[in-house]
Amino acid sequence: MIFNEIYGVYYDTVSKIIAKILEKGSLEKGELLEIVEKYAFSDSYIEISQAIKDERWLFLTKDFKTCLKNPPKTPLTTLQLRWLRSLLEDKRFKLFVKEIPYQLWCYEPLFLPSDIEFYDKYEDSDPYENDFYKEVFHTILEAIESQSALELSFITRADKARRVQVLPKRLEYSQKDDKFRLIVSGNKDIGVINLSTIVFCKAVPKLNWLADKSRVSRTKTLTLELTDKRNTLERLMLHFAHFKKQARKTDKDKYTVQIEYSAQDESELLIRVLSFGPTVRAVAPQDFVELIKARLEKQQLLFSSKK
Amino acid sequence: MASELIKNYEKIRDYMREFYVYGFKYREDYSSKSARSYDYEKHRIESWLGDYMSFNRTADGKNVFLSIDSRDIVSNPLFQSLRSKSFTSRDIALHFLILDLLHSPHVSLSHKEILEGIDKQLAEMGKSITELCDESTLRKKLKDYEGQGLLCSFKEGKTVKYTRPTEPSLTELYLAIAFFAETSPLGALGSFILKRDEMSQFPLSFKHHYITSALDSDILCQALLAIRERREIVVKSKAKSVKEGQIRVVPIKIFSSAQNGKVHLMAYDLRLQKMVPLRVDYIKSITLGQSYEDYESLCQLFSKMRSHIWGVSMKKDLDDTEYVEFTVEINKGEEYIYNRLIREKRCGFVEMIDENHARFYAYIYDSQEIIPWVRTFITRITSVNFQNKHVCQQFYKDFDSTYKLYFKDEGESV
Repeated sequence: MIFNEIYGVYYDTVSKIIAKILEKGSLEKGELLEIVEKYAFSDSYIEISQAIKDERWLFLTKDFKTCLKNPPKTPLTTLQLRWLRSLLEDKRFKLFVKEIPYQLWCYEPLFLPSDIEFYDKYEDSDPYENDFYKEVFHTILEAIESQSALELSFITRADKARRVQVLPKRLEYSQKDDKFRLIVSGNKDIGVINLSTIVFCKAVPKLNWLADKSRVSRTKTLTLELTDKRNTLERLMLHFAHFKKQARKTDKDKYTVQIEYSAQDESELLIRVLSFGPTVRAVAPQDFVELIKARLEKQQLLFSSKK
Repeated sequence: MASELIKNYEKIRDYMREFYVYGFKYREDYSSKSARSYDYEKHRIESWLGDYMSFNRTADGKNVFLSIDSRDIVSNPLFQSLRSKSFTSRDIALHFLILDLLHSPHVSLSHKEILEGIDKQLAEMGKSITELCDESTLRKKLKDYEGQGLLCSFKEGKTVKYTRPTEPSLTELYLAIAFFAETSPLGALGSFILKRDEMSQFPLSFKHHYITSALDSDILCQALLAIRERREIVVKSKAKSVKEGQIRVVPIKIFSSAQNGKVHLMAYDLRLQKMVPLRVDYIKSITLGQSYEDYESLCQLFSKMRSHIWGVSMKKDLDDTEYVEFTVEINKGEEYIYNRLIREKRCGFVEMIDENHARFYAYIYDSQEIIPWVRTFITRITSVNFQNKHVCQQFYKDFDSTYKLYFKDEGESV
């Protein structure tokens, strides 16, 4: 199964130790420490160095001599190959890989796309199989790798085309939206561009002035008070699990949760808080609270007018 | 001090989830476990994930939590916990000695040759094979490694020879592996490849990224194997809905939420003869049983039910659905609201009923499940009409309570 020592940190670290010994013919204690700190857990040095000192593993002596002749490399397991095979069935796979290694086709997929459903993801996924989309995706990846700039046109929310030069930083994927966004710098107004809105994309040489300007989204802290009724505590903590957060119990069934969020995601966060109903109350920042109150007031008026 | 390696993952799985998802509990709150056990597990998790551990000291004591903004990480740190399995000195010695002898797919050796090879290797170190293993232990290890795919065997005359399988070239695949390690089920398997090959820098990040399902990797793996092989399974679960702690089911599909990270196994309960959702993080173990002959008919049943499942709730009777409907006001320039309805409607339907109003409606098994989504339209809801009157009244009551919650301090009337 997946929880197995062959995938473990120790086997991996010992591989690196052996490879280093074979490369150099010896090993210093400092180098051992360096390897263990890089590849293993924080307490591993004590365990690994003691095992070597005691010559517990037989193939390695306390003065770093080994009978092994080849740099160790654990072969991939059938489970890993079957996992890789499953990826070939995913329509996003071809965004990353132009030529599929034919050897993978001979394995049974570990799962098929139809075995798993993200039942609440949004329906307007990016068009992964569209040739132009794929072309844009590849151009972006190549530009990131070669550290080139991009000249691109995209359709804004106001349905207008905008042409810009930017430095591509990375691609951000959201499972909920099932969309890729391009994170860029080099333009103080633009930090993120949805890939599906790009209508023109070309790599251009990097210009010096581009690097200086980038749009930085402010981080804010949202404070929520919640009452643990109807399993709210678990629901809320899971719902906001992907944020940096801190929770505190304040009374028998009362909790305070602080969530760090990017200011540009405020509208989304607002409706996510509202979705919990009366068991969750935003108490800070004040402008966030005011936005919720404005929505509630407007809704109250709508309901009153119907009565 | 406890070793940072563990034999059984199940125990620490709970602690990891508590620290990551909740993170407000004090040592004393872990009443079901002994204080010493808490200290050991906390220490282990610190050793694995020290960079992400935070502490908070209050008058009540110190609490420990894992605080991670998933947008800042390229690789799920919880995968590290799956790399902590303990082993014996014999396990690790045989692993390195065997794979050194079979260092290339061009080398093939019989069991006897491997035994002699190890003896020779150890003699160089002034040691003897008798310190390590006997013939049958080696045979068992070779069989185990063959089962896992680390080795393969073939017959040469009457002799069975072992070799290392040829590995596909991964050079062009690393970026895809990095992406799917985070977005695909059982991504841990991909992350281990990246660790092995020391690939770590990728121009990727992830928004709305729920990482806790990493802790359920083995459970999910068993479930997916059972689905592929169309087998019945016995599930041991701590969910209250699972009477006597275990249930015999036929697994149909994995339902994963992109909005809260919960993962459910949608399965057919063989005793109650109905479809049930089983929360994967509550499952303690899955035992694979025999193959289920009429698997296709269960898939067809699920497929018919699918158009009435909003979240994960299902009913025994296929047609036992509840009608839900609400309308929203859409003013000029707010077309994005209509787009939102279309994008988020799942199994429901959306129609414009006049120039400024859109109606959503659906026939679903559990009206309660849709309420959180309806609330996200607060500020523009003009009517809510549910067949289940209790849920409908509760919606209005909840709105009043929410309103009071925000306006009570201002003495405003509701």
